[in-house]
Amino acid sequence: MENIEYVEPKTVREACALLAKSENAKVLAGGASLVVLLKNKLIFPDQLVNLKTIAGLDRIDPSPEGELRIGALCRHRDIENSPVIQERCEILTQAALSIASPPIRNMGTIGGNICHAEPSADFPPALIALGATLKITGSKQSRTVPIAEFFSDYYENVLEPDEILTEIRIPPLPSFSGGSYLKLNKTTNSVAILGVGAVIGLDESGNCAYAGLGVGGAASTPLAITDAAMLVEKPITSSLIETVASAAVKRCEPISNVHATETYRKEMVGVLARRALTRALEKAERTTKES
Amino acid sequence: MIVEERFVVNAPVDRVWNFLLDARSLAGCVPGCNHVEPAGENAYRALMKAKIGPISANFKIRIDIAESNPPTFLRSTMRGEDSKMASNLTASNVIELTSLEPEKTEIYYRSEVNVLGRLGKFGEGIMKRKAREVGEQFVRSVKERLETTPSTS
Repeated sequence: MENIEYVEPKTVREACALLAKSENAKVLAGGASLVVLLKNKLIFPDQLVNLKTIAGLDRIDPSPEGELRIGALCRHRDIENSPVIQERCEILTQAALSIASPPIRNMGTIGGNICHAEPSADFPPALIALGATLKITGSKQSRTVPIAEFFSDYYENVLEPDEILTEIRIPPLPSFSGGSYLKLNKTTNSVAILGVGAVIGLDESGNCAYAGLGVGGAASTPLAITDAAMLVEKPITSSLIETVASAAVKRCEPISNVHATETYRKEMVGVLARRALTRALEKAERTTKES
Repeated sequence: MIVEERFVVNAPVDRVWNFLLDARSLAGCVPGCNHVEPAGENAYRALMKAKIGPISANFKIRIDIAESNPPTFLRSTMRGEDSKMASNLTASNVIELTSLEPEKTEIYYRSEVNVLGRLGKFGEGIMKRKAREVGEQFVRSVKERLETTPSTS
């Protein structure tokens, strides 16, 4: 780690301007992924732009329109302990809790987790299932991108060099909703082999009003399984869930490695998708009964 | 890891052979490969770039043609290093050409690639998938160039 200029901007605008000027800068959020790459001498940036000195990027705010806005600098631990997240989108609490160990969750941020674009990262499948959008700020303009369109390849995303992910926006869900994030890994603390997130919302009559399904670790990027939309406006049956789970398997192109073969991963995407959808439905039904 | 592919181009076997043996035209079909220059008899030097997310590798490689039987068989070896990444790459390649029709040739290539050092940590799974992508682009470029450029021989 030699000759790296370390800068601490005080505003997002200042950070974007620094990034626009630099040829080979890296953004430091929590550092849980970046520092590993630096320590292993796999990347050689000229400049590190630390976002932790920018105030206000770690808020969790419900907006008046019913959206939930999560600052990109919220640490996994903040998500895990947030009552509003627990109440409105518990699937994120589950995803946060499943990440590594408490010391790492005290360090890593949700924005960093997303931007690192690790194909099997835990937040993306849950956020895909929630239909989240990402607010991106650049040196010239801001834009929002649906999370499903944010990832472009292994460890790559659509951010321009001068852009920063500043906020994650979760749209309001139907009143009777439930979510489930399920993860396949070797030990509790290890990286996911697969992660599947499902969210289901029901209307008053018990028909499906919203369905989202995201899969991580099964392709070069986290996948949005758009086939989940076939559940909408119908009463959800186990055979419909089975159909969506099979569709999810077809969309996967996993790799084989020492942790799991391609065939096993595909098989397990089907299993986890079925279980996650079923659990999400059970939770949504429970909220209907409680009301 | 082993990368292999079999594909057909609409060109006579001699032309395919000459094309593949011309280091510059061949390098033009390998994504990330440039600065090819001869390095003695039956040997070449080149630079090869590969990128996975934020991690970029720049290998200085040397290719030696170990065995050739024109116009159907070619065996070569490749050794390279990226000193910044403290990583090495070795590959043993075989190319076989079969004339199917006067204007149709089947190309078969098989490459056994090993990456050692820090980049080796990357896990074979992702690297193999990336290598497959490189292979697919290679096939596309070879077909495009051989099937569109008029024969000069």
